[in-house]
Amino acid sequence: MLQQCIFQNNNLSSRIIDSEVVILTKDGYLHVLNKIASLIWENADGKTKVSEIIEKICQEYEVDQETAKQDAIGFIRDLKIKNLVTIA
Amino acid sequence: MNSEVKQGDYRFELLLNIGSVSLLIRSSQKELLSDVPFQNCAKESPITTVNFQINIDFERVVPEISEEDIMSWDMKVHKNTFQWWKGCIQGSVNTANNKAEVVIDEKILSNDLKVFKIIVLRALILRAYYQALKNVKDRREILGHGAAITRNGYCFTFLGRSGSGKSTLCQQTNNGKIINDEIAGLIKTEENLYSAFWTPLEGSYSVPEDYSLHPLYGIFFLNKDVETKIYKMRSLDAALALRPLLLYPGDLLSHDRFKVVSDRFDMCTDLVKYVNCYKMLFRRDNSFWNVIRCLER
Repeated sequence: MLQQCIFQNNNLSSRIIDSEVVILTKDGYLHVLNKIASLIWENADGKTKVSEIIEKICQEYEVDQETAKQDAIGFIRDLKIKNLVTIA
Repeated sequence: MNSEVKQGDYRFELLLNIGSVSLLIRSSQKELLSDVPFQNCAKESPITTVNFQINIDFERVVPEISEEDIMSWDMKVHKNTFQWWKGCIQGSVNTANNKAEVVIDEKILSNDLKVFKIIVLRALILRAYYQALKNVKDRREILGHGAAITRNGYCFTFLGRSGSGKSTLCQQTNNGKIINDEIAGLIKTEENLYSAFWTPLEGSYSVPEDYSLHPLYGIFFLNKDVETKIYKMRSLDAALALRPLLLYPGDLLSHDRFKVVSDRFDMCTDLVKYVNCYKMLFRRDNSFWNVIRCLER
């Protein structure tokens, strides 16, 4: 997964409020992302690799590489299960 | 059905003014109108800009109706026609002349489904309200589940579900004017200013008609507690709290339910951007006005 990119799916939209991302799905659900999750979401542009996203997390939040990697991959998998992103 | 009344014979009428929208509800069944949950004022609103007419007829449209069918909340839309709750309600809307023709299954008139008649009417009226507003440019009126009270030149809106204390709060207000105690109208005017307005959608209090706009000081989300406290909320938390307390911001002909969800949330985020929002723990006495007075300073 580290060399893959993630894409926001088309069946939803998002808003940024108080520096946090809110995702609205087609079936009416809201997902509120904290600051780190919001950073991951904003980099789900199909161009930024997962490894690069992890690097950004480490720089922005002074977290060690391994912790950032575990958390980011776990979160991305969760987004995939909820059909919010595609990994390619 | 009354055998003396022909189908399509809308001899009974009810005029319901909500903000700038005047809804004329016509039916062949008098008892339907007498059971409308929001009582009307018969006069025309001086600020009416939109007139919408709903003709309601009754037929046996589905062979059998169950409570499950009615509460299924499914909605199908095709061009200018709509069908709710597995066909229990069917109709069409002519957007050119702001008129809706609605057929409700006559079994809903029966006593054992009376509570659903009120649900149906409530949903239909509020959707018609938003449908009417769609055709009016630059109108962003919102109906919130809450009370609006003016005091010392400020208007305070207290939002909360049934049982949160809205009526009790109104009872505890001695030095203030109650605009509405159940469904408050909110509207954005120029310069990003939000105001509250009277609606005929009353709860325990019957207040005089008041068509003026009252600039909002703030929105308070009510919760009962043993002590009165007020906390300023972040915009995001306020928008999330507001969302379930807005009434039916969807129109009769919305093909795109996702757009309805998005529009509803955008209404919330815009409002909390320009209006201070607070969480209010309420002890069911009038001490909260002392706390609010401190905020005013």
